[in-house]
Amino acid sequence: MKVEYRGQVFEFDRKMRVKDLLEKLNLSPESTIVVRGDEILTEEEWLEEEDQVKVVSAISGGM
Amino acid sequence: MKRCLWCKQKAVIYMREHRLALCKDCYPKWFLRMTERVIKEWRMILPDDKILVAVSGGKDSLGLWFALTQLGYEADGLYLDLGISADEYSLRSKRFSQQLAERIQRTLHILSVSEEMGKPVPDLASSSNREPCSACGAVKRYLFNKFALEHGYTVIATGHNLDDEAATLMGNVMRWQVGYLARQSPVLPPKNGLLKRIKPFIRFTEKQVALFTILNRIPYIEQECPYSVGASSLFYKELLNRIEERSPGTKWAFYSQFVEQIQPLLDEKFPEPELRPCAQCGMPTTVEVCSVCRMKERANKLVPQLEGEGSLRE
Ligand code: SF4
Ligand SMILES: [Zn+2]
Ligand SMILES: [Zn+2]
Repeated sequence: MKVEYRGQVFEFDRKMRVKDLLEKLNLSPESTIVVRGDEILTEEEWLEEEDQVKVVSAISGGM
Repeated sequence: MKRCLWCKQKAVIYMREHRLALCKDCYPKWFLRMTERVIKEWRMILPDDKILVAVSGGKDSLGLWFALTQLGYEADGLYLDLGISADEYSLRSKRFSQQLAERIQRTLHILSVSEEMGKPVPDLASSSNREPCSACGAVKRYLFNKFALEHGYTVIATGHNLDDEAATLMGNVMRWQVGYLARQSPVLPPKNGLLKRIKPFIRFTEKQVALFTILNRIPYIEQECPYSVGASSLFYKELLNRIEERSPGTKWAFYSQFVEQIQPLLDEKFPEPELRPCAQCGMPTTVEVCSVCRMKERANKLVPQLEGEGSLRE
């Protein structure tokens, strides 16, 4: 699957749950939203090999 | 698959701290209800108030502006062009703000720091030996307050969320900055020429705000301000999220117990220093000439450093 995160693209070649993907990217489910097309996915949902998803980081710095 | 507690459609979020799963249709409704509840609980907005939203082009401020108008509040926006040219940050964030203004048919005022101060934020910071965020924060508070006062607004609303506030609280606690702690509240009443400031999103995590903004199809700037890299607030946010993962609800408990129980005591014990008008611009300050006027002066000609910084409250 193709995963876009902060302008970078990561590839994974097996199905996994959203929360496993976040773990691989070392991201907290508390601060990220995973989007597939128009659909917003929860942590428990499965991502298939052919999926294209975008990981949106909700955390922002500065003040 | 998790289902929406309200309508049984597929859920888009499960909020452990509320034990609540909601779908794409119900979540925005819940979010608006919660916003309204916070506004009422803290008496943030009174019937005669004229609201100015501090708009940055990010998810929080755009989400807030949208939510307020959805709730029927007539809020205008003020976008401050900080003059941060790296990656066209200021240009792009301004465009997102204008887009939303058009959609909700509200006025977006635009002020340029370079025009108001003679120099953009990065130059103001370097010529006064301040960190960009410290100079930026001071200038933002100053210009928002000044503009709002001059244009008849009575309240300034900012998009600070629970993560922002909990991280600030953690930073202030770590160093026991009692002066800052005493002023950290969801509502700061008007005082001595400083307008009322409210933070209606304190009940929401960053993720919850981002989701509201995304579900309402509001495009916002995802790119970070280049100066936010390495900010300690980011580190505190990550730490707090780690704790939250293990123990849902901790962030809210940490923050809400503070503002309900501790902050009022500190506020009493450490009252805000008396403010008087700045000799140059007339805006409230603790010293003769306010820190923003001095920054402006230093950036536009080279003058010797003055002792002692007087600043507006956080
Ligand atoms: S990160 Fe710092 S410099 Fe950038 S907008 Fe925020 S306060 Fe200003
Ligand atoms: Zn629903
Ligand atoms: Zn001044």
